[in-house]
Amino acid sequence: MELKTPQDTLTLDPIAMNVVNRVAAGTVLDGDLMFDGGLLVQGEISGQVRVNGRLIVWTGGVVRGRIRVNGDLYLFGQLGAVGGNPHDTSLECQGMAYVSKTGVSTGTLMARRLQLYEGADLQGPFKTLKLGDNLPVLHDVHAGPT
Amino acid sequence: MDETDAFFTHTIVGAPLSVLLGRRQAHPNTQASGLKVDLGTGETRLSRLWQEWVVLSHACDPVGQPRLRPGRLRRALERHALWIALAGALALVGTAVFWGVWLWS
Repeated sequence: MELKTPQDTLTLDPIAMNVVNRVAAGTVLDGDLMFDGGLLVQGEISGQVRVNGRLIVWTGGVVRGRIRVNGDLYLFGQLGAVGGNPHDTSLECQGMAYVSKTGVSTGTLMARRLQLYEGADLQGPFKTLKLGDNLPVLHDVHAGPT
Repeated sequence: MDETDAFFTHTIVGAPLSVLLGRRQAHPNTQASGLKVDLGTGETRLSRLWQEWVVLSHACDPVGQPRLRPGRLRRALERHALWIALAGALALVGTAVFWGVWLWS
């Protein structure tokens, strides 16, 4: 007899989680984007994206490009283009990445910790971030006159 | 976050909701799940499994952390809690009325 583990459930409370931004279904955003606070993605965003908070990619939501998340990631939708190259999309998560049973990732996923759920489709690579990986890298430092 | 921010967050982003993540891709914990005893301090507390079963309110849950989905029986009880409470209250009132009438007569 197969022993089934119980399912996990997550309560999404936008106020308690400080998710103050939302990209609604049908909305397409592209470019250099910066979100102060958590972000709920039900539409599509792409480009250079920085989220200072939690990122929730809802079912039907798509995230592409170079993404940096200073919080946890909850992936119910799509990371990277369908059938896309892992090099086209990379997401760096400074917290824990939860990939639910509906989540699909074709991009490169980097996170401190990863929790996969049965049915999660991780097609791209995953890299564990170490403690020193959040140090500013060269392209983040604005060179000033010396 | 002040009241105005909370109002707009609630209006635009949405109300709190629970969503199913699925079954964890991990080996189930085969260790006995009962009391956890801290050998340093001597404190005892219930393991995660029991905490999530015993808990009656999720108001103090850590934000953004998944928890085990309650079982079928508990979900049914929670869904019909109001009717169960109403039935209990009616039974209590009915019993009191019955005994009152019986003793009176």
